[in-house]
Amino acid sequence: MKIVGEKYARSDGVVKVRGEALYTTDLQFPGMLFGAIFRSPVAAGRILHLDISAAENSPGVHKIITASDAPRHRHGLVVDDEQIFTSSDITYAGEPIAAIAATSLAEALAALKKIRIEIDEITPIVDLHEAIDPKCRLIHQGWKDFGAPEELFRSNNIVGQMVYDDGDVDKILNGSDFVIENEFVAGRQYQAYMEPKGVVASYENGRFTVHVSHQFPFNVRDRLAKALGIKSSAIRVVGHHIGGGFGGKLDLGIEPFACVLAKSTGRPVKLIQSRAEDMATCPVRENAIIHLRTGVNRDGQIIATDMDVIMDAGAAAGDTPYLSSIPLFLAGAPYKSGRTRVRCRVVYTNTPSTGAFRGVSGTYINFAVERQMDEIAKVIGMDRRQLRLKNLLHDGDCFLNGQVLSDASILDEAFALVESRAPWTTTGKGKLRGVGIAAAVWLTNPLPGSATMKLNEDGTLGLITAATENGSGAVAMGLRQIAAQEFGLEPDDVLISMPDTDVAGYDAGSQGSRTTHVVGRAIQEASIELRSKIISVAAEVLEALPGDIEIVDGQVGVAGVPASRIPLSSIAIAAKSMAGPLVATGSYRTPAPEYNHQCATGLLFTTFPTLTYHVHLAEVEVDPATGNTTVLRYIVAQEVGKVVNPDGVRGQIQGGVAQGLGYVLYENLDIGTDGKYRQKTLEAYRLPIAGDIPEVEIMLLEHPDLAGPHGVRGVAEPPIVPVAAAIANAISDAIGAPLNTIPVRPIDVLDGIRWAQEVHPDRQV
Amino acid sequence: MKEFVSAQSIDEALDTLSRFGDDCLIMAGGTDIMIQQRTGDIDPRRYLHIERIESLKGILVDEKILIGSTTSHHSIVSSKNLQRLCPGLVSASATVGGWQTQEAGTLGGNICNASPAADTIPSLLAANALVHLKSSSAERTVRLDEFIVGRRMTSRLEGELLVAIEVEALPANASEVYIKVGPRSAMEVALVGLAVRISISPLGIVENVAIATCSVGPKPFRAIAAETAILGSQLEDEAVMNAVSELTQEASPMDDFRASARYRKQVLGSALVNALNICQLQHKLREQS
Amino acid sequence: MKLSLTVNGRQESLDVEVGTSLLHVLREQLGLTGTKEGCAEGECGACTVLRDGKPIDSCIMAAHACEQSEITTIEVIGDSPDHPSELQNCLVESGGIQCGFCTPGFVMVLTALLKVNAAPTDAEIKHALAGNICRCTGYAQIIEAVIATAKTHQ
Repeated sequence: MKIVGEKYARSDGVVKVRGEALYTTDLQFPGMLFGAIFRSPVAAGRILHLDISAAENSPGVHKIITASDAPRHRHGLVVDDEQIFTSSDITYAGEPIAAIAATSLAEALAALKKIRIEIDEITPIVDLHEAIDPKCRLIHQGWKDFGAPEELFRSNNIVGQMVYDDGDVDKILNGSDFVIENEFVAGRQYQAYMEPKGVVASYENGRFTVHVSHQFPFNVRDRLAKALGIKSSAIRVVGHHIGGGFGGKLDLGIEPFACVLAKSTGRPVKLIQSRAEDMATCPVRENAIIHLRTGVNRDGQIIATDMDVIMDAGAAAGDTPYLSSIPLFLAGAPYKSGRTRVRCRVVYTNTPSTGAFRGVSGTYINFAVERQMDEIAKVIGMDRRQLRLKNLLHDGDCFLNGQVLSDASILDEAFALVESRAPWTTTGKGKLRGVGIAAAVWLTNPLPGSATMKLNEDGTLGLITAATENGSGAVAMGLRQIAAQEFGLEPDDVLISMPDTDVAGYDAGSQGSRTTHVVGRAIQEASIELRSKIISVAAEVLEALPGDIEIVDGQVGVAGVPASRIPLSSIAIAAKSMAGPLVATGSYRTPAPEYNHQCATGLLFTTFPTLTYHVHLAEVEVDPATGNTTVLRYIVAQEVGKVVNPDGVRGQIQGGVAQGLGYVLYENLDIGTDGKYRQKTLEAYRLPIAGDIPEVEIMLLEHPDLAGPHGVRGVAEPPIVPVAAAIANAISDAIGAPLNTIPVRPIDVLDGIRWAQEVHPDRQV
Repeated sequence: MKEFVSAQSIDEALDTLSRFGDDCLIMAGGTDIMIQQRTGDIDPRRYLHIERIESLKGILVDEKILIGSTTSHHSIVSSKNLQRLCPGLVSASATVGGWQTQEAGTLGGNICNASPAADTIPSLLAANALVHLKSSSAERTVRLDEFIVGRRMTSRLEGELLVAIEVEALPANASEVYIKVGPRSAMEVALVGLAVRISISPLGIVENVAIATCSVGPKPFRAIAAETAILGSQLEDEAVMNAVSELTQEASPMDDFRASARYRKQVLGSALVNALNICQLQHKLREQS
Repeated sequence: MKLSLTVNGRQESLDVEVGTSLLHVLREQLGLTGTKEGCAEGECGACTVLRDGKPIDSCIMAAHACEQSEITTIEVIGDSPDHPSELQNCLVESGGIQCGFCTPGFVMVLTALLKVNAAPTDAEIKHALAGNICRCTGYAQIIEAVIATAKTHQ
């Protein structure tokens, strides 16, 4: 029976379509209180006076907690620069100062309004160039004392820097036929998962139980332990259906507040963020500035690259210091970069902190690299696609870290596939129409995962894992089908538990397309053990040699004797009176590829394992009256290793492209001089709607990854990576002017049209 | 304790209004009010819910067109009569939010909310709309451009209820259009909204024209100078350019996170050119048939 | 203040504070958590319910304004727990569901659409969905599900 590769409906489809799936926001517990967080109204300053007395006497209030009665030490994912509550320095608007538990949410919110605070306000630092200046006021006075890895090379407001240098880059640039220099700017993007963050925490018998719709329950456990200063075993994190995450639900969020309130009241406390609060305070994709100089020979060969990146961490580092490594990989892929220097600095500002969002950093670094390719082509008078093919990586070429890309020639195939669908020389022609192309190489996150499998007494398979179903289908389709395939069962006969850190082995969460690949392998490892246990029981029951036993289509029998087959259920029942219940476990972590450990300083993210390859093509039309862009056609060629479920793969690519389209055309969190976002609601933050998204034409490549289950590579994360570049390149092509800022605003398009007409009055647009 | 009065008749509503006056917030579909209340912008003690009053709903086509104040956007969009007699309003109503908002939101609510970006108002202004107001002691009819006095401000008096909106039907030889500018395919707050109603003679001369806008000033307005620039013309380039120049001069758009004032002004001019082109095309098609 | 409300065919008598949204009453007082809050300002459509058969955003609908209305929520769409509606089946089959948080709202709007238009075009479906945001799917498989539903009715 072939299950992997086939179309099966997802396991949670029916409960979701009927509204029966419970998300954190739907949970109720006896005696449950409702929480609310009092946050700083300003972005920078010092608290002079805090008065909670009126709020404490407000109806329904059980408890108000401030810094004075909560753990006060610093904690963080990479740098210990966060604290549960601030008692003096304010580093961003929205920084938590107090938390309230009340009988109802309305009472908690009413009490919130009665807290009085006096702040000595100072001008927030929001500009990256200002913040990075060594003479700038420090965002964190005590930064030197924060716990942090030494490899971050922190100084003043710089919280992480990665430097790579081949040497002599300036010399080679100066000697090249052409030097193309551009600056690219990217704004912040909000994950806008449809379920705002929420948590329900309780405290019994010295342990916390934390119910949360989270992509990474074990990270919640470990980060909470650090924040609360307790053992991680004192925390149990229970996962629930997740209303979207896209990276936004990977790090610790508002869980500590629910925990401190639950402990102090002795009641379960539910804390649900409003959309406005979620948008104003949660870590979003960072804004960045990329300066790029490329030396190119007359024949189109790139011989030198100098990339300088500044990323905005906001007021807390979060995972952004890790991301400073990403430019190293993308500066030298998918195109050879020649002699190269890459510097990336991550900088504190008085703004809400930034963090993971699908395609971390890759979206805008790829945008810079791919926009630059178009600008190079223009300057040297070469076809844009030809220039790309000339500089494309091939089998055996390396990333800048020395890691060998053994199968990079897949990129050639992907370019050819796109060409077969949309011939370059005839696509995107016509008045104010344009075509753009962009390619990318991306990784599959290697972090560890595990699976426990049991054969139930009715012949079904139980799968216990902390892998999370964030909506992608990686669990509800991918893992279910991989597990079913191992025993020839129907996918419906595989029952998967919700994540629970008390029950399941460690899992590194739904990030970097890792779940199907890594946990799929863990399932295969567990299956080897489970099968051998089944076989040894079956051998006894069937009175045959273990070597002669086979498991076929959910049945066990002697090989070559179909009449001997008995259902798996009878083996599970028999096992109870023989070797005991049939349970097995498996674990996996992708081995790290070899790389040059001395290649760079500050490289925290050292390799790109389990590569995927991508070529995107966009065809657009621009409205000269409004500067608005319509994406007429969008084509994706993607290497996936092996399709597990075609609907799942399609949904990830279509959805990733939609998020990329929003990123480049509509979405932006503008930071005001007050350090707050100017967009405060979904009415102001424009997410793409059904009429904005074309149906993506998808062409898949399936070169199996030798380590992946059935050859699977990651699928879900990277479809967003080249979208901004492909669409911006298409718009630039349509109007004849460069567009180097994300998002591409209608005014930029109108200005571009005018610029192009002034520069090239004879060009027809 | 807060109070919610759901009136079943105009008399009952007027009676409540006469007793409580401005201490009583009139609610129809409530789509704007509920948001303003949740964000704390308003905190009314008493609501007068008028959506259940049957006589405030519906579209009456006689010598004039009367639209009940609580007629939903969806009803306007679906009205065969309005599609024929007031197509500009129909297309404007079709751009108010999504389907859900069009079911709940009402024409009277859109007017009384008096947002600078109110989609329906430019088309109503172009159709010389009048608003019919009633109180327990009096009735009056006011021109819409006099009713809307500023950003989120109307000249509705204490105790008055907006009962109906009267519009002039599109004359037989006329065309009209509403152009809304925003980046997405729908669900936009207008960055610029522009309504044009124009009558062109068989000889191609502009006999009558109305141009009205939203989102380019503190309140939607009729652009009289721009109208004058093309009245009597044959929509030759010079006249159109003059109208564009008058219109953009009269506009005083805001810079905000949605768009810059510079963008709004630039796009406003293009929108007028586009609107006139569309109307002229419609005129030509009519002449041919 | 007292409120009597007909929800999913049942008459409910409740005490509800004036100004409370219909969504809050459904979720917090009646325990009907299938209807979701995504934005609380009528932008995302996750809270869509039918009021007298018409789709509305329950987050910006005053509960007291529904006193004489029939409210229908996701909980009664489909014939029984074992039998989702044809549209629901098609959404599951097409892969038009990912995180699922927006899904009940989409089901409500599309149920209303198919009632007034049994065979909507691609453009008509997109128009009807203007007020519903899905962040996961990019919409294509949702639209396909509606077209598949219409086909089963032919």
